[in-house]
Amino acid sequence: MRTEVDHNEIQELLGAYALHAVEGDEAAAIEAHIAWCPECRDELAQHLEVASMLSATERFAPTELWDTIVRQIPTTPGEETFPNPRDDTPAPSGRADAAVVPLRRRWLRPLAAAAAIVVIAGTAAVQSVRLNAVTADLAAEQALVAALRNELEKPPLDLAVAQALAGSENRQLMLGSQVSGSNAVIVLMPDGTGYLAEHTLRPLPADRTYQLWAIIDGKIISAGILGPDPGIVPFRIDPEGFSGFAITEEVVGGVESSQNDPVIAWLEA
Amino acid sequence: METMSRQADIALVAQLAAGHEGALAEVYRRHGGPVLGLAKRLLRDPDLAEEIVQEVMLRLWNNPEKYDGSRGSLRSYLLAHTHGRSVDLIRSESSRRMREERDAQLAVAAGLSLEEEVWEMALADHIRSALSELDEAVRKAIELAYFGGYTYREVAKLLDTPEGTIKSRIRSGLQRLNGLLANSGLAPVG
Repeated sequence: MRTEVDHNEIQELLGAYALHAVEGDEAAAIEAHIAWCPECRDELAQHLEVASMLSATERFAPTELWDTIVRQIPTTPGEETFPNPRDDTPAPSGRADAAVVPLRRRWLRPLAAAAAIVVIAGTAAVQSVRLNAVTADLAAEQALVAALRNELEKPPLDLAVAQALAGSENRQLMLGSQVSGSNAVIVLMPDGTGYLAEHTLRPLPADRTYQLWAIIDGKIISAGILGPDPGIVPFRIDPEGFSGFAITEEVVGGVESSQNDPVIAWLEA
Repeated sequence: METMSRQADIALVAQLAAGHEGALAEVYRRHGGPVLGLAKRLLRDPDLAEEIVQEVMLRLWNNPEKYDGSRGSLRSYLLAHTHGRSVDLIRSESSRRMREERDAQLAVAAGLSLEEEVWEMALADHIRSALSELDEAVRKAIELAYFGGYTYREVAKLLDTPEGTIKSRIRSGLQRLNGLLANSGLAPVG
């Protein structure tokens, strides 16, 4: 049976665990505990967020850390000091030439071919991607070509939405409803172009359709017929005076004005 | 209440789960730099770091359902995996020698290789500022654990400090950082 002491002990370890500084039985105990303890799970999530932000500081290694580590490393005969962190001169040749145990493992090798797919997937939105050793393997090159072909043949809407989601000037609006439990993400660009990007709306019978409505200057205006099981749907609205979206369920073909309650909606705060 | 960026993460991973390569490209564009930077920082091996990036991205591609948007941001999820895998390599028995080499070259290599990976400078300044607010003993414990890849027990030995104290310092330090970042408008979560 779990006790309060267990909880407190686990809690004390959560910071170290978030930094992967806990091993073995202790790590297993934490993992078992957070599976049922929402308080610890929330705290761990917070620590992980902070830890992820620490990476933003990684331009320069801190001198203090260097000093601490150097004190723990035995110096080799004839080598009196380690290089100063602020000194741009290369490390002493004895150190620089020291043998490094290769770390490449078998589990990494199968990744090479698939990595090509990752890399080429980036061609749509990533400006520069280094392929390096990935393309050295023929199989990887073949995968690369296949992925490139797939990328080129992809429907432009997918790319348009991916680019719209990436644009910092664009708004991503989450439509939802506590009643229906459904939600949807609409990305809206400053010029009024928008996309229904994702949703959890249930499919409708063939004689029904979802319809998108925009609230412009307090008026509810149809922004498009979405169909009974929408995919990505582009639309355009007048961005001036815009204050909300709603999606209703209607008869196939849509209606000029809806008498139905919204299935999901988003309103400007 | 989930933030808009969290909603965007969820939407992006939903697209990814539907098999849209463009979504993975977007994940790479948004988070590949920090992931690579962190792996390089830990491993001191650009090739190995790039392999870690590949693994992290492929894991997301193959198992998008493992990301739970209610538990944190996509970036923290990816960086946590990057950190864990990097630390596994650092701690593997066969890499002891490599670790010594890595430590010996730690700062010398940093200024040159990492300069290329500068990103979100304003954020970095806020983080550095927040770190500087911490007590030195607390900051050292966090730096050794996170950037050094040491367990808290190893940190305790390195700093000649009781293990319980190190645990507390790491936890309280992260909590303090969260508070400081909140004051900067960069609070991860409440």
